[in-house]
Amino acid sequence: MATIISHNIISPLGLSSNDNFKALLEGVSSIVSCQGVHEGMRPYSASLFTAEANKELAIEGYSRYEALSIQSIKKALEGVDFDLSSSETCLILSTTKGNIEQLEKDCSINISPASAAQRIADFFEIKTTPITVCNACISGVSAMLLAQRLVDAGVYKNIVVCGCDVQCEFIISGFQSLNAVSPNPCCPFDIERIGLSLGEAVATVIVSQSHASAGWKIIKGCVRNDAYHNTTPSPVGEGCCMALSQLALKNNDDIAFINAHGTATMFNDQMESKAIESADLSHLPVNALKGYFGHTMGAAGIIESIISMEALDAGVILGTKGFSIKGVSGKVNVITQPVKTNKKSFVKIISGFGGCNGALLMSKETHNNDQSKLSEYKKISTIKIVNNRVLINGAELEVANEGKALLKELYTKYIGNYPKFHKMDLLCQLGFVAIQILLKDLESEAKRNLAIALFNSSSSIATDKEYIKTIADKDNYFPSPALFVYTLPNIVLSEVAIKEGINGETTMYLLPQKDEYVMTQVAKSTFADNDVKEMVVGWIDCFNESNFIAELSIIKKLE
Amino acid sequence: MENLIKTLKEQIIEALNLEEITPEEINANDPIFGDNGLGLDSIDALELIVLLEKNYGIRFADPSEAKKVFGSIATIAEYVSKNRTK
Repeated sequence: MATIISHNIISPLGLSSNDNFKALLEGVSSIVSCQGVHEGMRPYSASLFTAEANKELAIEGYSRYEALSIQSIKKALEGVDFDLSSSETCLILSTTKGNIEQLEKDCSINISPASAAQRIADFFEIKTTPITVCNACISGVSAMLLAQRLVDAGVYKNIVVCGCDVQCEFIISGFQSLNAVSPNPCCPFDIERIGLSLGEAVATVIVSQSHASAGWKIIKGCVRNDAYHNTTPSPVGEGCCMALSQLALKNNDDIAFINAHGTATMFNDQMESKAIESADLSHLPVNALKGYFGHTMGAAGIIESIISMEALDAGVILGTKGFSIKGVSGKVNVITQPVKTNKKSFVKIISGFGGCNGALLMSKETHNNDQSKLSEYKKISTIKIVNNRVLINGAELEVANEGKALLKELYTKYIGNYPKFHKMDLLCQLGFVAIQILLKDLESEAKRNLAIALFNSSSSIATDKEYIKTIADKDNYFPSPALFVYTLPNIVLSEVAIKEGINGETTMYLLPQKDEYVMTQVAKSTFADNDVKEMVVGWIDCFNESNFIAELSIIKKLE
Repeated sequence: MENLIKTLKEQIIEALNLEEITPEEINANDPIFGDNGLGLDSIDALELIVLLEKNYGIRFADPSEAKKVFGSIATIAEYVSKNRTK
């Protein structure tokens, strides 16, 4: 089974998992109120590394994001012994914006998280293609789930999973434009919560194949899409409840608690309370950790899972810093102070932009040694769209336009009557028309459980460059909320999910370059989700209005 | 007021990428949000707030205040004419 043989957290609260856990147990928080770096920027709250810590953790020749990831991976590798250069070792990174602070300095360099991933892999001489999960706030859970599936299926023996994000004006201004940031330390689930606190941190788990019964295991995980809105979760917590329900928790009496996402935004916490109630899990204690180190984005799913493991190793359920009076309507038992427990399992839930919701069941000392096998599949249909050409199942489609106008032509001809199309950024328009054309003949029941796994190398670079223009001039400072939303490449997944009512697993992956082997393994591993019978998989990269490619297929699981 | 309504319609169409709608098709007194409106959502509302700040120097202390103003193009125009600083 996929076993966590080692882990590390580096945050402003400490340089190891245990240091961080001890700080949390004592109720310490690293969140402070900050003034905007210039007049146009409103005050915010965040957990940030000090200048000294940044200096100490820096590595010459590497960006802050890369150096932090390397430092954490190094620490996690201490005392574990396997061949990093082996074809059975893989690196999975989890981030939302990776090196985005570099873009504030220089718009011409390659700041894609996938290129950073390659540099980090090279540092450790990991030879296999590094996979970056870029699935908004749920990236960490998506990354751990991918590691579990790949290890359990024997594709890799050891996987280094590292989640990290560093804060900068790009991210802070964006969340502020969405009115999502609290100027004071955040208060998850509390009646007075007004928004999140941002955080920077890095967290690493080493996931290995092990037949030993001891050690923390990733038992099962699930991702479901709300198909509701790009940034607002379903008010009834539909996707989150579906993900929770897949874990079959009702008769499991070893679950100590649910570690919630608990961002302290109005919508998220309310939604989670509803989802927990609907999943019939109101009896389980719930805690949230963002009051200690903020919303650490790409690190969140991993850092919060590690803290939860440490807590159960110490026999406690941690309290929810910032919470005092319940301010959500769903039936939930939010823990305020540390409580003793001798149970050895927990559930991590998490939700994010792009409509995605993740749930992970982790347990210690289990004896289930099931080995899974990768499912085979067959291709049903394919589509390829480049700047001036469209091929459907290999046959050339006659088109009149090129570039952005080509996408509009395809929209008008095949879809139409969906004004939201014109609001989408180029990556979303491309993915939207390509997938819509592919799905034409699929039945609606098949669409509901459809999984979508897209890959690219450039993340959301075209829109990143557009967004940064709205914050470049300090005298004319108007961060655009509509543009910021599209600086997450997985938004293309909610655009499609909303239109077609798709509730299946949706994930965005980044690779340094197109790699058919990795894409095939990831696609096959997604069928480990038993509800997934069909999926859309493929490559979709978008650099500018005249340079883009989508090469996607519908595949069907062979039973 | 007529001119301001016309300008607002054009600015909103441009800022919110309402490509399939012309200014003439928008009735100034019709609701802009909700099912019978222009199909706008919460992100559009935030973008509208940015538009009013950028072009008319209007700053809402509280986003819920904006909600009341965003009834129709006519209510926005009325608020803008009374509160604009540029």
